[in-house]
Parts: sequence; C-alpha cells; structure tokens
Amino acid sequence: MSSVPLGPLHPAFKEPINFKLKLEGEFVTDAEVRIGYTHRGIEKLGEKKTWIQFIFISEKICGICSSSHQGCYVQGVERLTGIVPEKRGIYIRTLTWELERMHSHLLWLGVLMHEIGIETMFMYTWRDRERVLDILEKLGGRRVAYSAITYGGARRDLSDSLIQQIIRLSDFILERSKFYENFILNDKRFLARTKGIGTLAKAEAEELSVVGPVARASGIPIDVRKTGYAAYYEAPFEVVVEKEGDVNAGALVRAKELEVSANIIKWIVKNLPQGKINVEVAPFSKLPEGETISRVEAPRGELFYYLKSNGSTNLERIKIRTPTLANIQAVAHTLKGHYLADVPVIAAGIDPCMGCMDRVVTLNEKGKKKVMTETELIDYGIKWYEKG
Amino acid sequence: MELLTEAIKNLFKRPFTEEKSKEKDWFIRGKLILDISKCTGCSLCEKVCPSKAITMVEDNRTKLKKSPIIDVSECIFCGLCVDYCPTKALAFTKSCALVSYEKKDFVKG
Ligand code: SF4
Ligand code: SF4
Repeated sequence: MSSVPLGPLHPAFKEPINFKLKLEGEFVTDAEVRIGYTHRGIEKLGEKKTWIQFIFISEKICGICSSSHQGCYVQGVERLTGIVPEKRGIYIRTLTWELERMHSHLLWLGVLMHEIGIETMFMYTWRDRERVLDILEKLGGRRVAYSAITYGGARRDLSDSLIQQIIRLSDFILERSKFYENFILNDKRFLARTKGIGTLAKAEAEELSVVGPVARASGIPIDVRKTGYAAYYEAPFEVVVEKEGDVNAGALVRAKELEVSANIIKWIVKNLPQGKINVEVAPFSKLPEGETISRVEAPRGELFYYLKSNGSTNLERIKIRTPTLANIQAVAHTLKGHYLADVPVIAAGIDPCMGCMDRVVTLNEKGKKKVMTETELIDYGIKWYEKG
Repeated sequence: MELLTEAIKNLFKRPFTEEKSKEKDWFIRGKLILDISKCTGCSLCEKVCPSKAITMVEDNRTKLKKSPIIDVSECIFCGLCVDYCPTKALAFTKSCALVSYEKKDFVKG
C-alpha cells in the first residue's frame, strides 16, 4: 500500500487540484480530493462593487462558461427588480448560451482526447471550436469574455450577415457532431481507454447529487433548461441521456448535445422576435430589498446563484455554486478500483473547471499559526507526505 | 480508420485559419480611445469603472478642471464607461495587441 499525491501541479491537470490516492500496486483503492488552490474571493468582491459592475466581473469567474455565469447573475437581478426582460434580448441571450455550450463541449472533447493521447483528434475539435469562437467574437467583441449579456436582455443586436454566419455554423456543427459520434462509438483506441472506465451507476450518481452531462451520462434525465427559463420555454429540444455512466457515455452525451445546441440555435435565429434588446438602467440605481435564487444550465451542469439585497447599490451577499463542485466528489468515488494510468481520463471525464469551483473557504482561526519561509514550507510538505 | 479518412479529406481543403481583421464586420473590444475634445469632465466613467482603470487628473490637455486618463493594463474591457459616457467621448478601437515592457505605455489620456 502506498500513498501518492496527484497535483496540485501535475501534467495531467490543466488547473490545480489535489487527489490523495492510496494505491495497491497499480490500483487505486482510495481517493481523497482537496480543492481550494485557486480561490479568488469573487463572492466577496461582488459585495464591494455595484450590482451593475458585478455583471462584468461575474463573467470573469470562468473562462469557458463566462456567459452562463453572467446570465445566471443577471437573471437573478432581474428577479429581484421584477422587470420583464426584452424578448429579443432574451433570445440573443439564449443563443449566446448555446454557442457557449458548443464551444465548451468541443473544448472538452479535445481535452479528453489529449489526455488519452489522440492528439490528431484534439486538433480537429479545437479547430472546429475556433469557428464557434469567431462567431462569439463577432457577437460580443471578445473570444472568451464576450459580455454579450446585460440587464434586461443582451448587449449587441444581431446583424443579418451574422445571422447567416450563425446558420452556416450550425450546419457545420451538425455535420461535425456526426463525425464525433462515429468516432466515439467506433474508434478502437478511444473505446479501449474509455469503455467501462470511470463508471458511475445511476444509484451512485443520485446519491452523489451529480449534475449536468455527468448525470445524464448515468441515466438521470436532469437538465435545468427543461425548467423553461429564457427562451427554453419555447424552444423544442430533447434531453440527451445515456445509460452506461462511463467516460465513453459522457463523451457521447456531449457529442449529441452539440447537435441539440445547433438545432436550438437554428430555431432561435428563425423565430427571433423584433424589438428592443435590453433595458436601460441608471449607473447607480438601487436594488430593492430581498433575496432570490437563479439557476441556469451551464455547459458543465447546473449553475446556481443566490443573491441577497439590502436595498442599496451593492448586493449584500452573493453565493455561487458551480457544477464542478457538485461533480468533483464523483471523481474521487469512481477512481476507486481503477488503474493509476486511468486517473487523468476519469478526472477529465467530468469536465472539471477548478477556477469556477473554488468558491468556499473555511478558516479555522483556533489552530496554531506560524510564518514559514519557502524552504521550510517545502521541508514541511515533504514530511507531510512521508507521513502519508 | 475514422481519423485516416478525415486526414485524407483535409488534405484537399482550404486553410482553416484566415486573417480576421480583413473582414468588414469584425467587431472587437480593443484598447480604449478617448476623444478629449468631446469630454466634459463629468467623471462618470471613473465612477462606473469596475476595475478602477480610469482616474481623473488635473492637467493642461484641456480647459477642463479634470480629465480622465485610462490605464489599459487595468482595464477589463467591459465597456461600461463607453456605455455611460454622456457625450460618447470614449470608444473601443480594434487594437488588442497589448504587449509592452513598460507600465507607462499602457497609461494614456
Ligand atoms: S472598459 Fe470597463 S474596465 Fe475598461 S476603463 Fe471602461 S469601465 Fe473601466
Ligand atoms: S464620462 Fe465621458 S464626458 Fe464624462 S469624464 Fe468620462 S470621458 Fe469625459
């Protein structure tokens, strides 16, 4: 029996996270997850800034699901003030979310392929993702933090030429998702590394309260979009569900969701209503007193915001729960019984985003306090791990 | 096998990456530019900026008491100042190559 620390800095992880693994030969017998390496205190920052300023800080929480964060926050604020957002704005907002889901799923497919070692496929998915990013850039003005959403709707209107480009993009993604599905189901190397790896049975998934594509891959048909916020209460779409619960099923769910997203986008641009796109608001307007919650389906699963206002220009409390926080325990659970070599694939399998996840910090004021130099800290770290 | 077919198909395709800036409708929120002749010195941009990138300073650029200078290295390109400036004195440019060794290169009026 040996104990191996994986992370926080490890070639397999793109972002810092630490798994403490207990090994029996090559097999993982126990895994413990430790998070909190990239905590940035954004919730606290939100209390210091006015609610309008925080619209543009909230999208900096995650580089990949930036507009999901922004949209979820704005949706909560709209509930607090009780306004009805502009319909055209809402449609453009939904379009941004779906474009974002496409680019996130393509990114994740690429990362998974990279973890497995199929670099050619990584290049293909990221190349296709670039097309989506081009459209997002034209929509918002930036590749990653598009700031396309604002109070009461969306920030920029769609031009006719952009609509044509979006339709072309959807056709392109529809065609590509077929290729990805075919690859996921048939490629021998991919199947060897993903079939039966990281299996999360339905009962376990329910017990661990996983969300998003991870839950859907285990046969739980949950999707916040089906609750009918924004334009989803009109747009027709199916929730993609697979039964196996392994990494392969996860990949299949996401490849099929590319198709679903492309179809939603096509529906939106076809049924785009006319009218205003957002509601103008004075720069230092106050929020009414009250509290509310807001949920959206981010590419990785359910994103949750809790907002509390005391009637001033700033919010009193913002609480964010990101999908990775709900899913990360499932990784620690499914790692048990697998080879050490499969750990990166399983960890990548939930599409983790550590930057979003690290929201909670517990300070234990009671314990001993000590200031250490760098060498002391390294020595301490080595001793800590030797102890097991 | 799937990959091989795809690779052969790609041999006959056009290059995927193209020069974007040549496209007409390309929109990018790049470095901010201030048209000092339009500015009234109301300092609203300073107040709305979430990252405190704008400061009002006294200088002799205009007859105004105070006028804004923008530190681009602090800017998060949210566009709130552009939205709220009453005289439309601030605007985004298309320049987004923000590389310099010197901090002072980022600060401009
Ligand atoms: S774009 Fe945003 S961050 Fe930049 S100067 Fe204007 S208000 Fe400040
Ligand atoms: S908001 Fe516009 S007019 Fe007012 S100080 Fe800033 S740049 Fe000048």
